[in-house]
Amino acid sequence: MFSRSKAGLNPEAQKVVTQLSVMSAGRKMPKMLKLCNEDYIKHKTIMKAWSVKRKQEKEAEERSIKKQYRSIREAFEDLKLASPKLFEKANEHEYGKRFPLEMRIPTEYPPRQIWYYDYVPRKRND
Amino acid sequence: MSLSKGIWSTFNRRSPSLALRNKKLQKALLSPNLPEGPFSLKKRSSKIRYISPTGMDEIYPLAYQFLEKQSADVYKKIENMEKKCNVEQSDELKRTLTKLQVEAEENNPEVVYNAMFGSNLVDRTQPVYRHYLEQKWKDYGRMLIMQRLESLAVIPDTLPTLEPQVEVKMKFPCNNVERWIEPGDILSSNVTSRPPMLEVIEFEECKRGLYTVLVVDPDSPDVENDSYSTTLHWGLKNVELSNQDGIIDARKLVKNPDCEFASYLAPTPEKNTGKHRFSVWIFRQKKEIDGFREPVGRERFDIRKFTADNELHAVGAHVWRSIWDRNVNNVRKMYGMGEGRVFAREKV
Repeated sequence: MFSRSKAGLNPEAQKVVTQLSVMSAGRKMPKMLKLCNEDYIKHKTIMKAWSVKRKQEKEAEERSIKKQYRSIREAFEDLKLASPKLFEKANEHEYGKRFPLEMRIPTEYPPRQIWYYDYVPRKRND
Repeated sequence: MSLSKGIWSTFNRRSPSLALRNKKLQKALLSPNLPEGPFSLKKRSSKIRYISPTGMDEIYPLAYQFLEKQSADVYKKIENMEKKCNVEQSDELKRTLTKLQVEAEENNPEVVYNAMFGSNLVDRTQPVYRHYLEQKWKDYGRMLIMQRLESLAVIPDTLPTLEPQVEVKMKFPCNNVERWIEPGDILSSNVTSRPPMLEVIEFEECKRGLYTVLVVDPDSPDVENDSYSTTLHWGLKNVELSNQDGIIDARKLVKNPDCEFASYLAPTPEKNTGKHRFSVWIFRQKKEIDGFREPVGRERFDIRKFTADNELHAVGAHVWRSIWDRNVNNVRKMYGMGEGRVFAREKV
């Protein structure tokens, strides 16, 4: 009485269906790890240790950056007391001088492309 | 061979309940691999088939020792704190200490195993186990009870609101219903014919706390006013509970007969009065209650006035529902209540 809808497909359509089903999300999902309780706890312990370690590293980094910033500020304060003239000169606003947009912000690692050999600076309109 | 050589294997300052009781499991958790195979798998076929993830045996010892070192640092902090000041003096210090105690043990694999798979059997005097129990309760139990209280309108009908602080579990052990009742369940009159057993799980440290328990039915028909009134079905005062022992059952009540100021009256809803909500309220007492200013009556019980008069602070609740069934008359006879009324719609 009822027939399966896929059974009557012609071979070409069947081929498309098979190819699509191979690409479907369900096939791409990696198999779930089936761990016994002991190994699950071990897995959790490893993940926890890693996250704690990363957190400590991040905090240390942040601390050092804050320290750097504080020392820069202190140096400025010292300069302000020692020689107000020099301080003013150091803080002088240079009109028209912008931070180059092409420059990267400082990071820990070099960029993928180190140098743009065929770089041509943008033409200024004025 | 054991991984643990530091703080997590010494038990002169730490409680032995922080270790796994099962030696085989302990051995499995304290070795880099599984020397005797996966102990927690029960079937022989799955034991044979099981393969641990590759590389885990190399990383796990490093992770364990790293976390153990962190824990040792926290224990040093605790020691310093205890040396410097008397912790018992202020609540603030106590809270800080408990936090540190949790921090010191929450990553210990044995503790995590107990908390995850030992569920109800953990030692509740240890802050870390209480922390894990609280986490579990907040994830499900607390949301469930609040949802049931609100959707069944128990909350404005009995007390204005509730900030749950303890987990309340209930079962009716005398009637072969040996399961925890889910809040809002409809129970038959046979099941509820004897008083329930309650378990109050405190998440704060509690060596000896006094509690009051009330079971009220806000759905008793009030024919004169064409409305509903609240009836008191069970009242307990000065019930002593602690972290280890949070159970209120017949044995405890027989030992302390003064606790019960209103004996248990089984729910026997009259015919055609619909579903009755029976809400269980748990209150923390500030001091011992010697007597009540006014005699406590069952009919037209004003729960809000009662709590205000006795300075009671609601910390937990539970609710079940009852409906008229063919066994109600037997239960009424058991409690000497006489025949119940049968309500019918009046023909105009």
